[in-house]
Amino acid sequence: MKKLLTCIVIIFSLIGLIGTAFASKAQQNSLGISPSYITSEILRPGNTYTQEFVLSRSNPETDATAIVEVDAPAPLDSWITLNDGNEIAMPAGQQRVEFSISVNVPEDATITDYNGFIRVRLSNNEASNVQVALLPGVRIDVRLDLSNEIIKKLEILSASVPTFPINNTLNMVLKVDNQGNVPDAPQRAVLRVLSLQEEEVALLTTEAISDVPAFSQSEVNAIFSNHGLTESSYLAEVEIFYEDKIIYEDRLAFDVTEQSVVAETGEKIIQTVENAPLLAKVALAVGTILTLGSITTAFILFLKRRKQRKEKSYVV
Amino acid sequence: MQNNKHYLKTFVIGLLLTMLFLFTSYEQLSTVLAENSTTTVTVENDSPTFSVAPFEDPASDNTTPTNVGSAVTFRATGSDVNGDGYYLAICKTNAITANDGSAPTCTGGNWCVSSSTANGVQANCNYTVTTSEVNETYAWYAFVCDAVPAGASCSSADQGTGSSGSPYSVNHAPSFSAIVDDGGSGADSGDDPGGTIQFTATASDSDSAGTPDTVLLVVCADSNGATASGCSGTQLCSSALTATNPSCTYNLPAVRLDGNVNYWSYVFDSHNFASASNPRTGQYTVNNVAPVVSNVVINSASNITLTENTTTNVPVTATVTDNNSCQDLSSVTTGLYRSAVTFSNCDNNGEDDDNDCYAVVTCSVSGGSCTSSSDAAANYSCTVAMQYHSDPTDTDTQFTSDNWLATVLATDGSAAQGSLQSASGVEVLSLVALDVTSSINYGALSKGADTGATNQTTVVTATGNTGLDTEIGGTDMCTDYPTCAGGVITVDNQEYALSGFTFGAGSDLSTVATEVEINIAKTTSSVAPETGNVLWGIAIPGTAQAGTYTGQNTVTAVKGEVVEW
Repeated sequence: MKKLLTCIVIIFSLIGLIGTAFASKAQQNSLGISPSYITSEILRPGNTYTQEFVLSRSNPETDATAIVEVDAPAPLDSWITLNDGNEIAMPAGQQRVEFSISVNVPEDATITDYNGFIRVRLSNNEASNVQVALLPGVRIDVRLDLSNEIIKKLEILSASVPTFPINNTLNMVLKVDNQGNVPDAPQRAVLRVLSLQEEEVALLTTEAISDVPAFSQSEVNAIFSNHGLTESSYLAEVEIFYEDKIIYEDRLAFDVTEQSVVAETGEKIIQTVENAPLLAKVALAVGTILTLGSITTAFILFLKRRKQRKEKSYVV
Repeated sequence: MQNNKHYLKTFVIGLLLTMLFLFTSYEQLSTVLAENSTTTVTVENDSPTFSVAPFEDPASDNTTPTNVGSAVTFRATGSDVNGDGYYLAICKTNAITANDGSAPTCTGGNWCVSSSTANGVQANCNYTVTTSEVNETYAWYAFVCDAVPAGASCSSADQGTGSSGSPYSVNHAPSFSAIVDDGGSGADSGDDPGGTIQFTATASDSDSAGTPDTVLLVVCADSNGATASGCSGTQLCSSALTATNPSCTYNLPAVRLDGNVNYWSYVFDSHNFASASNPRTGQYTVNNVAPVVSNVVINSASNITLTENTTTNVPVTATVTDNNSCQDLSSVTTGLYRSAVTFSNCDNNGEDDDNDCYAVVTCSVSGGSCTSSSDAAANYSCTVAMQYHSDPTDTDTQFTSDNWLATVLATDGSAAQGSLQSASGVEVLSLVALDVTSSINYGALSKGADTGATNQTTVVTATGNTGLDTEIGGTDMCTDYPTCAGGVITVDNQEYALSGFTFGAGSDLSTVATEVEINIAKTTSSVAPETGNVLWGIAIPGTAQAGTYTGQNTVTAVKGEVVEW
């Protein structure tokens, strides 16, 4: 019995020594997530809400895998989709890894609050040389308040006018954050174009702005036709209206360049192939039919005459 | 008596016949006489005459006067019955004296006298008009005079006819006493690029015969010279003809380096005659204008996600336009700050705070922009290394009503500044992150023993930008972890607490993650991050097999309650 006890003591001592040795290496053992929530108070049945996440670790010396586990009650757990799977590779040398999670609210979902968690932890599949390995993890809080209300909320994140050739339309690129629960677009955009000396050159307005899907950010074009600008550099003051209020004001700079020859050729080709007017297409079809008909008729007449000549010869 | 009469008649008739004979045979007789006699008879020379009347070539009249310093050329052709050579003399008065063997002398002075010219050949002479000819017209009288050694005589005066006849006209140079440039606010005021500079000459012309003379101004950018038609080199502007003080306007290029610029100005009269004061030089001023900042965008207009326990490079981009050329910009910097801080509290390095203000971050020109001095605009990119503990502004944080803004400040070579704040702020998203001690070593224990009051301490460090709580969970410890087909020490044999405890008083570890209110404050300094301790103990069941047991516990970071940050 004494021998057995001695053995146990020795074994645990060895474990302790080994553990101490590894612990003394003072490895970094960290994990972060940003943001740490999936939150919405305006989700409607039938909506899909997607949240992008960044997992990070400051000292990625080795490959690692992050395990994503949903800890949410039914039916919320079934609404959650791990778009990148439940194992996220975190390669050595890469501090940041992106992934996304979507919440798909069924059409028949009950209007109430839904709460849960999603945990992300680093896994360690290798045999451990320590008594207890401590693994870092992060928690994502899921808080969804379903609503039947239509909520409209837009934010303009940026506006820019890329350089464009003189004969093209002026396309102002708007980065729009639709924080509402229905597709939506800014009401109108007003562009006060100034010379470099800040004298007004043109005052342009457009309502030709595409919708942005609910709960998403995307870039849309505000298209100004017939801008009348000449080849030059310009400053501009932009105002974006939404629900009759200015929601964004900015100062821009852009260039109008000479017409691109390549672009012109391209447009011509496009017009020839795809944008030919309907009348022209009909005319082409009729012309083709008539031509083929004429050739066929001529060929038949030729054959008939030849036959007649042969018959005459025979009679003679 | 009758015989006497007859003799007298005969004598007279004889005398007359003799005289007739002598007259008709003069040459032969004179030869005979010369040969045969010493008697001398002097026959006087004839004066030459104009076979072609005198004229100015070209005509010098009110329409085409001769500039001071230029020559009036007089031409005429003389003819002499004696075949003698002749001089063409252009006198100031109608009086001349022929000289034997030399050019004649105009009594009142001459404009010019030709050299001796053969009979019937056109003679000419020039007079270069000098500044002493202050009148606008001067009369002349032309004579042709013998170029003979003796008996020289002159024709009567001839003044020609029409525009090429007397008088000749003198064109005097316009006066040009000063040049002034005006950018719109008075002399030497200068103007901005794209503006105008008006040049005005103090100039006039006193010539008034016929149509009064007018003057024009030509202003050049270099010293290559000019005519009334324009500059030989680069022209800034030229005026129309005007009675006095001509002026012209130069449109400054839309993009122009600032500073004083030399110019050379010229005045000409309506006969294209340059002023003797040409050129007058001066300097106009291109004003310095402040740079204009536009298109300020933070992080491509996306919210900022930080990286745990380290910095994250966040781009701020902007376009800076300087009408004095983008090459006039001496520095472009940005400040990135939480909106409540404002730029005025984040515009110098002394205000740097890695929680809410990144001041005076240097920006650099993006490739491909600002390639020449005629470019006004340059794209700038600034990289802000944001610390992991920068204040979050998203939901459930301390500053939810704030966001992060950037102001880009551009300074040009004359210390003029322009700035612009980003039109739209971005959120710094909450980064929930921790660094935790990597292992627990309980040491060697006997079966049935526990760690008692001896705890193993693990340190949890807040390496994000939020206060932290934690969830703690674990697994069974096994001799063949993770298979766990051999010896097992179940998870509930481990205990933990946030302060020292004697085994039995701690919380049992569970496979289910359990939240622990560790309440680690938000880290505000990367040098001294906030930490919390979790203390551990273990009991070895009496039934445990001897062996080496290993397992895994998980410490999960949970965003702490904001009030605990």
